[in-house]
Amino acid sequence: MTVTSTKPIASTGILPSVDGSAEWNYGQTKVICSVSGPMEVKIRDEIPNATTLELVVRPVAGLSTTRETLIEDRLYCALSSVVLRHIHPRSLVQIVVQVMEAGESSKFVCRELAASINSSNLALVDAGVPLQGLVVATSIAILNDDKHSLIVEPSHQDLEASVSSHVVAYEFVDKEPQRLLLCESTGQFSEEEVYEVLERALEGCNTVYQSVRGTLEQKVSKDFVWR
Amino acid sequence: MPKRKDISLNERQFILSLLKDSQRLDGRAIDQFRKVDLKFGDSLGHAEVQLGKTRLVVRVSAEVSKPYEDRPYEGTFIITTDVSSMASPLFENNRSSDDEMLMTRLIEKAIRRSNALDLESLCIVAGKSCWMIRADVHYLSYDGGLVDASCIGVIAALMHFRRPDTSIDGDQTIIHSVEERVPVPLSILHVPICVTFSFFKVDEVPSSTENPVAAIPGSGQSANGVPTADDSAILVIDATAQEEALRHSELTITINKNRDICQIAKPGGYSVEALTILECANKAYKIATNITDLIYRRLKEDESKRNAGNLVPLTAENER
Amino acid sequence: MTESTVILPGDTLIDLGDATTLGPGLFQAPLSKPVPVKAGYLMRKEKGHTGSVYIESNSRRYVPSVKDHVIGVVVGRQTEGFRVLLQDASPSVRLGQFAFENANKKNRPNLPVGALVYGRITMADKDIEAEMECYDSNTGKAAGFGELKGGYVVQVSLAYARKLLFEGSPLLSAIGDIVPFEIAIGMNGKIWIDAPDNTTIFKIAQCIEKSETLSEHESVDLVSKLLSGKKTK
Repeated sequence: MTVTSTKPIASTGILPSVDGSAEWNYGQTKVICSVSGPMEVKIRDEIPNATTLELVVRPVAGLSTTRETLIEDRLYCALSSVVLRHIHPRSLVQIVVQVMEAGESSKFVCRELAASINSSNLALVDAGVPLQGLVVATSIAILNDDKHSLIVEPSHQDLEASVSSHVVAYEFVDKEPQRLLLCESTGQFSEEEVYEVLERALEGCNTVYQSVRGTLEQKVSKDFVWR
Repeated sequence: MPKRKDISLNERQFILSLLKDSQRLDGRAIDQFRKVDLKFGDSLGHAEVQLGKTRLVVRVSAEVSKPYEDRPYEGTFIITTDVSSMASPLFENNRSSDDEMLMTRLIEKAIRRSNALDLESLCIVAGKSCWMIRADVHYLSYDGGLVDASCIGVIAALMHFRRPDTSIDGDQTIIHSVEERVPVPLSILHVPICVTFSFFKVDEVPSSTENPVAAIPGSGQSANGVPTADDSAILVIDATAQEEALRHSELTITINKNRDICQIAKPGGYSVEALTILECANKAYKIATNITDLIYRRLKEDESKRNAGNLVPLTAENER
Repeated sequence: MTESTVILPGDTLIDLGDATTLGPGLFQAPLSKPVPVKAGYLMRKEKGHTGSVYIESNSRRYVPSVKDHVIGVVVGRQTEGFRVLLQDASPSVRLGQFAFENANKKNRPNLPVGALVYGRITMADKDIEAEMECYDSNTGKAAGFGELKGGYVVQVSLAYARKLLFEGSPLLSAIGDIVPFEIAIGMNGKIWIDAPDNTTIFKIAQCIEKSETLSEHESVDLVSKLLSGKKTK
């Protein structure tokens, strides 16, 4: 029994003991993310001219494996160029993503990766870590049918019937997609298909962006209720 | 915790003097357990516990594996309690401190070693295959009482969980999918509940911030109406993070509704009189009864929600 | 001047004019326009011909900035001063032993580890550690800074602390109408409260903590609810 939401459901500021936090629920995937920082960094992790980003992705069951390390690495790729790391050098920003519902079998990482990126983006804004834009990601699957049809935000069943799965992250600046941050593809696909994926991802990212923007506007007005 | 919470002398003095008047910052009585908020998720074996600001999620999962060679008739059961910095930036990622290690052991003893889960019922083929049950505790937020909250979470999630049914066809073990056969609940033998007591020495309270150690030892202030054997110690149940950082000694009692004490753990600190422990055990029993009833109540509510569409409640439980 | 539209990181700002100073929450890379890097409201302050703009945003982690009033805990003593922690898990700041009123080589302040101090940030460069002082270095007077004795500390979000410090709140005057109390507000989100007895301190602390998520009107109601039955001064 799993509840599927067709629209992203997001909220921020859900955890009291960290600086920023967010919950992201889209489709059958649900993750919680926490961000703390900028705070004291251990000498061995210190970077003289930039913020150290510490990323931890924790699976829903069992111990972290290479799969989680892969998500961590891709998450870092998507975030590191958007976080303005030179504003608070020699400090630490800790990001922990806890997967609550994977929404995909362990063969795939695309749903969890997209959710990790979106939830980290929300939690980073909630914590007040300087960002040059918003990071928005979506997952796409190409089905194993004769038309090789594309599905944005595939379900668990769609993924099982897919030939390739993709995660695309864009940086949104002023309500428009500005830069492609990440395109992670697994499986067999052609060059044309990748371009189609990038094109269609814009549509998925736009849906996500609307939700992210709405959530953050709510957060700000909630932060300043006493105004 | 690798990093200690830094509490100023002012706060320390304030909290301790409140305790001396049997008051606490969150408005609780000193022997009052926080309100337990227990929820079950959509998937089976997903329990969420909230104890004040402490919040955690337990996920129970099962897979078929091989039994240990020296225990061919038993399944295996693993509890992982790894605190990440999501709970509080004071915890370090991927590294557990002594305190966390101690906590893990306490939870292990409370649930695994007290035989709360009947391991023999997890055996599929003796010596060949068995179920491996794992309970992963995800700590979301830390405000004291991690052991107590984890224990409630793990046991509730185990009771909520259903494993797929199996049958044996000749040499082959068949695992029936959830759609095919109604999944089977785990056999839970008893419901252990942990209650942690914290002791504060009141004559240790510094008189002013000028001189923190200017306490007159043995001044014999009595704790207001607190029935402890040791007159100078204040007994507090279910401490918050701040109280945990200030306490002088702690005691964890694991007890179930049948009045079986599963463990008494008192790692270090000041000595506690035997009578005090009896006192604590009695209090723990009352709390454990309430919490056990709450778990059963919530399980029933969840069950009726799941069975809402069915005419006959589906169950795989056998009358014994 | 305030605007009610929410600004998110990366949003394009309306023309700011040339002679504006950029405040917190805005970042300008060389040869480009300033962009907001935090979520909040755009605020403008006009001062003669020049003005300043900044993003009023909320967070829970304090980063030292010069002239901020802060409350911290002494966590270490060194030969030439103290180490003060402004927030759990944040880097500690330096507090020189002569940065007190009437302090000299003969008369050194003696603060124990764990003491609470109220002071002002004097140096906050991102590349070197921050420093604070517990007196007004221009006049040599305490100016209200120094060790805080007794009382209790609550931790609130940074924007709320700034609001209480700069704009005040009907909440504080409502409390003051019922009971006399002392307060020190740090921009690191720490608020120190002292009152004649523990129960009052505790209730005031609750009022301040809970009002963070209430409107001004509701917070005044809360005060009369929690502190009613208390003697008026």
